[in-house]
Amino acid sequence: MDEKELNIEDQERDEQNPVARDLHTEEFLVNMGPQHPSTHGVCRLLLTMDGEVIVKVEPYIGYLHRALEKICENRIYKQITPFMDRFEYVSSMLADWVYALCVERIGEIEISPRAEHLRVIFGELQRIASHLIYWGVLGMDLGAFTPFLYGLREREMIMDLFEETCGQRLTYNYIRVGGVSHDIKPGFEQKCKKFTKYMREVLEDYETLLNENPIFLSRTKDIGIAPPHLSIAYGVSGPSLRASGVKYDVRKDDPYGYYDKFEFDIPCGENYDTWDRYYARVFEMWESTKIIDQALEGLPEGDPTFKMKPSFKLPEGEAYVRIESARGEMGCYIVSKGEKKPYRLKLRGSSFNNLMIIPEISTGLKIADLVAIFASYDIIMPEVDR
Amino acid sequence: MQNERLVSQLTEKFGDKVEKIELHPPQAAVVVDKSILVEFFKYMKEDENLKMDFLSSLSAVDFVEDGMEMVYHLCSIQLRHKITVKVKLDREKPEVHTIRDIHPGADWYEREAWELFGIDISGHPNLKTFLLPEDWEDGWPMRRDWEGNDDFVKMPEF
Repeated sequence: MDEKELNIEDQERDEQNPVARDLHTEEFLVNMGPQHPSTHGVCRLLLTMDGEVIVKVEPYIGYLHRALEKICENRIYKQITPFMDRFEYVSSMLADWVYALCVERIGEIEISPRAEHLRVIFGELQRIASHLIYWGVLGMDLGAFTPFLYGLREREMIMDLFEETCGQRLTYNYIRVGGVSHDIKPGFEQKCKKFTKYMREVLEDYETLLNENPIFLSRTKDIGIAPPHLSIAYGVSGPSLRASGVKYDVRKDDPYGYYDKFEFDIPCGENYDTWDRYYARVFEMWESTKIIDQALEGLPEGDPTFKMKPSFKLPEGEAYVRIESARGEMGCYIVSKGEKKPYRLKLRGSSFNNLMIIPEISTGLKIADLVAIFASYDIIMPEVDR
Repeated sequence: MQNERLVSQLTEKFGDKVEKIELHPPQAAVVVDKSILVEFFKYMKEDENLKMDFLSSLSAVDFVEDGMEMVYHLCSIQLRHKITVKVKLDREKPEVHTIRDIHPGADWYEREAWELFGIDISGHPNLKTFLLPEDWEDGWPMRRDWEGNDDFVKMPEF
């Protein structure tokens, strides 16, 4: 029997069967979020589904919009740093840094070498802390609970180091314009060295947990492939861009702070899939421990703090400054008219761009794959909504 | 040095439609006439010596008396250089053509400029509210002369 005859037979059978005769399929809508645990904050994804297959993804954002940019226009320069902590609360140390760097570049403020070293140390500790959350949450979203517990255990040690230095555990307000808020306490260097040594030991453990786990592999390998040209076009940055096979890191290609003095490697993906995005972060944790060790090694003496007067006026000018945050390129654009307050302050969150590419690469996949992709891009909603 | 080469290549190519500007701190910066905007970005992306393929950021700035500006920050992934591109807009009727066909990443940034500054983005297929509440009717909050609505509390002067 050839195909045509088969079809005719099917049709005849359907006509005789009342259930099959009335049966028809159509696309339907599914709301994922805004309160869905795997959207990592309040993001609503409106999915158009054809059975189990995703036809279209439409992100709806803005649930966390606090008009940070407008608030900053009405604050003096000194008051803005705490808002930066709220801009990106999972790696707020780095958000402080980008703002401080932008003001320093317009105001041509010199930083003491000790402050530069401390910034690198705390920035890299923060990167590890952020990647630990990422690692744990990615595992949890895919059904493995162990990584989350391990990840938070190690993150706790970093939180302790931060708390000891600046008194805060989440919103540090530590890296300020002209330096840092407090010098480190005696014994910090030993504790930090001990931590990096310990971190390298546990990272070896970490690699045995997920890397070759068959369930994890089947959920992540060849899922959500983002080729290099697509990632660049959408402005994807950070580890997600490097996983797409583009060896680009702001720390290396547009160096800020003392990063050009330290040696480290950056990862580069080969399959551009979810697994590569996962491993790029694990790789970066290894490299961050190396950078911390190097920065601790040559820690100069001096006073890293800087007292900024409330009447501080930034000279006229404008600059867009970017740093490599844990999620990618984080930017700050300030237009100054020589007053006590910025005339315009624009924040660029890397998640904003990283979220834009998700609809592009997740069509034709299942909802479970979308969960993995969403987790692998490490989206943080306050950075998107600002 | 590299900045000057970048800017001079652009001014030579587009003549008086592209104008070099000096900013503090020093950076490669040009003002582009909005009539050639799409062509300009296309050229910057495809030219061998420029390869400006990565749109870092797109912001709108409102200089009340001096009109408005769209500011594009681009960089090249391969060649590692950066440029600031500005477009001057008329404040009474701000309008600019979308560049999302060249840089898809500009999509949401342009929506943001449309929503918060009231800049009309011609050729953009998806201009709908996304940061503000859906029933927002109090104008464009990021404009400098925005008076605020009932919920708006202005900070006292420090």
